[in-house]
Amino acid sequence: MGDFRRGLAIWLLASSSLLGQSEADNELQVNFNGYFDNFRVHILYPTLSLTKKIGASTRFNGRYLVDAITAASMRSRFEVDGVTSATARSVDGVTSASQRAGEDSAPEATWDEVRHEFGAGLSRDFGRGGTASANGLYSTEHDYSSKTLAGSVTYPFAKKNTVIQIGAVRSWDLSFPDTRTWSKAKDAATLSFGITQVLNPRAVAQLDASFTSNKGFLSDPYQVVRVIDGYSFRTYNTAVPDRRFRNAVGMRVNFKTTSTSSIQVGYRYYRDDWKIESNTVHAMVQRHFLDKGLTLGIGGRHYTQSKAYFFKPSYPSVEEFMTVDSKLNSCVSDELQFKLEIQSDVLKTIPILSILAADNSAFLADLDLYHRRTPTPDWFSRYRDLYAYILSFGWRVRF
Amino acid sequence: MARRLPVFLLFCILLLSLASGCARVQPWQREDLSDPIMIFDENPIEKGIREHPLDYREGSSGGTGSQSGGCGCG
Repeated sequence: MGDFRRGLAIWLLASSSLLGQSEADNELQVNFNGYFDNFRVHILYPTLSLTKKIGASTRFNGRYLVDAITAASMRSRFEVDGVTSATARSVDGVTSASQRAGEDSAPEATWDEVRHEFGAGLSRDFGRGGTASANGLYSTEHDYSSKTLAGSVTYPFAKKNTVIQIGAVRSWDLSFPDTRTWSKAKDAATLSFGITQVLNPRAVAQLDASFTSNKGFLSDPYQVVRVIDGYSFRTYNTAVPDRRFRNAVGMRVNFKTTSTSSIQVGYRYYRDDWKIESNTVHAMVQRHFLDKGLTLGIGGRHYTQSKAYFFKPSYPSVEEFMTVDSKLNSCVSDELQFKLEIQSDVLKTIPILSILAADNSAFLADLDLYHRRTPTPDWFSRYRDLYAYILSFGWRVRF
Repeated sequence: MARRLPVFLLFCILLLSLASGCARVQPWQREDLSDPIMIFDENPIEKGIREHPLDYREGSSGGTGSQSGGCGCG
């Protein structure tokens, strides 16, 4: 649960804009987003994004995100080596890990953490349809900072029937909890490779592979592990390996089923050296209405995962590696997604929303319903089932 | 199990290579392909908004056409 306090990183290498569908030269997009779940984690994270053409073949993009987080676990106190699991020294809370979310008396009205993220980058066209881009990102909050650099090159071949993308991301993070006396660093490096291939005039496929190396402090500084010995127990900080190699490969195909509708299907396989292995399948159907003035989409996703080799729901004795982090447990999750996009011509006819109807503008809305089940209860909430929804409203204008 | 990933990767590359040999779509045949609903990640901002919370609820990431940067990957 505490991972959310490290923020919502951004997507620095986007593999859209392929096959001659060039990205907009000038675009402004504002989104108001929220994440809410039954573990009492609430996040609001509005974003502002701007792309501006600054030369014949060069574009600038800037981004700002702020996320405000409240989580029951951030207000709790699990004593470890004389310090608390809470994220701030001034926090009041409860002391029992067995207490269910909803039973403590911590007030809900205030945000526990606020994070600010700033991003900027340039992209430049070259050759016959190629694009090179470089981006930087800085994120800061009271107990965590992150710096990221990313670069990518996209180039089409065979009359744009094949597009290849190669990218790299490097990041340097620093964790310095208020309730600890230390600060610890984490580095990550990712290489990615993608191929997009036109199969026929109505179908296109994409293959993506990514390889990530993490090293340093890969644990959550606030989660604690209880080692139970008979009728007594002691609490310890979590301890995980300081290296992790993560590999993923995914493939997806998009079919134009009618003149106004499409279906996308995809599969991803993931594995890492912590012995986590996962399989993901997804599908999304989209359809235009009102002469493309309105687009609706509905999709689904199914995910299965094995647990990290050192994960245990409880530990009978102290071990070299110990974690109770639910995302390292085995799990099955399902997601249902709804999308809505309304173009300016239709926006003009809708009361209230009509105020957003500038030329080349669009109103965007997304709703995701998410369920995850783990075989053992979460370390803090004591629930096996996580129910969450992600809600997003956006406004985009191209100029 | 360890061999699954490279095997799957090679299979996909082979599949795409074969596919590229079978069809070459001309620019004037791309009306359907240029439809926004045919673009992978047509709005990468929204894609990130939707996917990133899942990165903190599941142990996997990557392989979906976009890369996260920065924090919380442990």
